[in-house]
Amino acid sequence: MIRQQIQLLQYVFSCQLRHKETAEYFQIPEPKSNAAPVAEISVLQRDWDELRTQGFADSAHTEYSVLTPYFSEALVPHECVIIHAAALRWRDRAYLICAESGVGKSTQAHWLQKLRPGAFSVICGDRPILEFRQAAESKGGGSAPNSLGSDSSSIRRASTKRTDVVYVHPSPWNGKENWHGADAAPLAGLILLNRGEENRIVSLSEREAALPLYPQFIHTGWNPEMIRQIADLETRLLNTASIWRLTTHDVPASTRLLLETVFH
Amino acid sequence: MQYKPRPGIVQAKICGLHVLIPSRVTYDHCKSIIRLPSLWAITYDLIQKGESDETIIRLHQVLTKKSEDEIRQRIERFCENLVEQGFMIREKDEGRL
Repeated sequence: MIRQQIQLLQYVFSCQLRHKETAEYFQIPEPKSNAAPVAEISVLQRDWDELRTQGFADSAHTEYSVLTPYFSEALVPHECVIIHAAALRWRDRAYLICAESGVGKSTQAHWLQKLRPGAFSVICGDRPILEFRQAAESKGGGSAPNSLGSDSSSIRRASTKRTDVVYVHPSPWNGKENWHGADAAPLAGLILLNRGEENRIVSLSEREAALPLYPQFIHTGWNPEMIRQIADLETRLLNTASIWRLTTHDVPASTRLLLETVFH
Repeated sequence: MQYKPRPGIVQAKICGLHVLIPSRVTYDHCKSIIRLPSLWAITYDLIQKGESDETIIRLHQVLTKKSEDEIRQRIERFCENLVEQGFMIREKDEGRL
């Protein structure tokens, strides 16, 4: 086991690693940085045992992947969390495409870029970091001000006094295509993707999105209090973004529907 | 009450919806998040706190105006449904789980 400091956003973590090569997947703090680690991270033996029974190799790549939920939980006290989604940037705003593995997030991301060359860039291909920032409180009893400027057509106003702005950040986890490169951006929209018999897109309310979205938040699942905190973050997230469900039967037809409805 | 929540099930709210979320210790029995209507979320919570059948039935009578017999049947169906989905256990089966 080796001890290695790893940085995500502005936070430094002290990590116990089984493989020293695991550190190569991550950002290492500058030697002159004297930022104190905000948390210690090590993968529980029971998680390694479970991975072994599932046939995963005890390797640096496996360790890099299995660390995701641990980092996610370590970020939650700092109002950040990691989500399973393809994160794209369009007109300086972030959009998340969320779905179970294999449904077609990467396919949609690929076709969006192909059908509108130059319009989209990828913030993170697989597991971006969400950062919740509280915007200025509204004055009086009216609805909260739009804190993201004049481009408000696809941005939902929060009805609570405290307005969140959720920033979508790159992370070390970019998926098998290794798509990344775009800067962080404030979240404007979220697309829940599923497969079906026809191409269809509908707007969803926060409540309609609540249950299908929850499984996309990454955490170890062991800690009940963490589960509650992530449920709170999900509520805050759904209050800030416009939400759609895209049912895809075939591409690029479903992607064209997405472009016409969301990215017009 | 002959039923109790399975240890490791987390009650939470998302966007005002009452939900039950399995934690990792329960994954062999249930993995999916489910939603409970408000009255049944309160019922679940009261069962978890060990409230008596009479207290729970009285609450339902006030809110639904149904008879005691009908309420008992509805509560049993609710609990059996959650047992099937893995969120609750029958107390008589507890030692075997």
